[in-house]
Amino acid sequence: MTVESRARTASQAVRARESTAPDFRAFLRHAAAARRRRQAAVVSLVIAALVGAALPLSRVYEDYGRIAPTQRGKHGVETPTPPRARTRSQGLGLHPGAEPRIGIAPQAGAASPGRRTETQADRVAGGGRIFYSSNGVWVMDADGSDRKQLAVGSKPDPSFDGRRVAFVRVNDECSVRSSSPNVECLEIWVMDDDGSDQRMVGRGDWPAWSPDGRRIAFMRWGSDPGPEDVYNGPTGDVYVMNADGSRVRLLAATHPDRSRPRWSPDGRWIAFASPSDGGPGCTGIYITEVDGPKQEGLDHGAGCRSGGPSWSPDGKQIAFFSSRGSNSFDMGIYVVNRDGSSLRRLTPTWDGDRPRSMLWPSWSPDGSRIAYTFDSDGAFTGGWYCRDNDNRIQGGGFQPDGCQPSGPAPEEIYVMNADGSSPRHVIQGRFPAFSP
Amino acid sequence: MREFEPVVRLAYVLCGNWSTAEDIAQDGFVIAHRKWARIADYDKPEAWVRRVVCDLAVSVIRRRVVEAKALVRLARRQRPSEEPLAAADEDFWAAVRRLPRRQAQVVALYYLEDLSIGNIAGLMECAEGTVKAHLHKARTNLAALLGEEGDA
Repeated sequence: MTVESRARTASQAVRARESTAPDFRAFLRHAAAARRRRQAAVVSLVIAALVGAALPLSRVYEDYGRIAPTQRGKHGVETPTPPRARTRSQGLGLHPGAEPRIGIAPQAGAASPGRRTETQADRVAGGGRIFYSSNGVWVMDADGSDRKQLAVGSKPDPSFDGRRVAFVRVNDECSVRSSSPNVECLEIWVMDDDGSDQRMVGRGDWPAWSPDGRRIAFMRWGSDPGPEDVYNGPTGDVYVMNADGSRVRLLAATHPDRSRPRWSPDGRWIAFASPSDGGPGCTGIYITEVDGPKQEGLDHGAGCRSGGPSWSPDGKQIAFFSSRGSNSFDMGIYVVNRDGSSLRRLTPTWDGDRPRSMLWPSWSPDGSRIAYTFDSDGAFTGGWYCRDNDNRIQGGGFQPDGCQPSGPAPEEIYVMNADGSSPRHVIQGRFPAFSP
Repeated sequence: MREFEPVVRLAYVLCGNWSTAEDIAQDGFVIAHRKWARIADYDKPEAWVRRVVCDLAVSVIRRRVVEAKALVRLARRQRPSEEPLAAADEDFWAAVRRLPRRQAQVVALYYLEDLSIGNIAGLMECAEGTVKAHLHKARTNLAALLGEEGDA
């Protein structure tokens, strides 16, 4: 008998047990009744206030607005938080970060898959295509139109001229054989930008074309991606190879979860994420010379969890994601100059109790826009989301009526101007990569 | 409400005592209730409760506190006594409880709760690769502890 079958049998035995919990059920009933009474009291109060006078009521709200909310930091310390940014939530350019609730962010643009045509006019202007992942490698125009699936795989990276695409595919046979973590089953493939001429060129993750299209940088996971101390995270290395898979060369150590190596437009440097000395699990943005010895850390001063660098087309700036300080619940998009100066955050800050992540920025070829992935806490915390009958995402509740869980919350692709203004929801998916 | 029993089972396999497990689960839900205003908007509050219960069940100090409460309640005869599982199954979960706490949590969530690697990674707030590594090591350790054939 194997451990696997013992585990299944023992789990079944436990599941077959029935537990009795009269005390708890009574407690919940009382709690629900008390909550209803409190809600009724609040409603009465509001009605009384409305009848009383409109002016005093507005003062009440003003005062309420001044009460500084608190957040519970990673170590359980209550700290006052700054006022929530409001400036970005203007008009239809509502930024997901400015939404009061994560779970409904995709509604901001009313752009759930079933309603996409309604928001066509609200989309970002400007050309270019975006390659992205969504149960396969897809391409679309930057405004979300004319999308089509190109291949089975993920993490597409178009060449600088946009004519070839590198991507990652899991070798299913290897994945089935392997009982241990299957990161060694990841393969790098290349194809034309219409999905034709697909070829496997090597083993690895997160491919990135060199500007001349002759080489590919990529990452490989360490043989043991899960050390005992989960806070230190997995290990990996950045490599470079010729576009046909020959001449694989080790370049630098990296943090595979946040890496996505990216070639600078002048072809001299590769930016990537690697463990920093900021503390356990902390990563920073580094650049390393491809054909030389130089390696620099961008002392950018953002948070402890930086990753996903993307060069601006002129090579003078790098966009990346990072946590705000040690607050891993607030992952946003930052931009910093190539020399580490002028750090600025493009997406609004977030002080909620749930993780909110804006990840994997990608600069458009004309430098005017940045695409990124918005990841609400559904996917992050293993929670599920529900859709109601109108296909809108619902939050909270213990499986409310008419709303069945339908899997991990989706990640969504947004495009904003390069200064962080006018973010627009484009489509469900992740790992966007802009292309001519 | 329907979530309570699965959470009790999860607590049981991690702490090894039904009375304690019910108290741990109850504590988890009470904490959830207290923080309801904050967690009600979660896409899946149950996941949050599971994470709390996982931590409660493997934390020795907290477990001692709820065990003490459970003993008091048993002394007042508020609960019927529970029948143990079959010896082989009891041995398996006893072995799980001897694993490092993260490995034990992953085994409970993977086999008992039937959660996917991705969902466990989200719930434990770590990478999927980390969950896979924990699961792999847990299987190896369990094979050694139980004298079974492992999967490595």
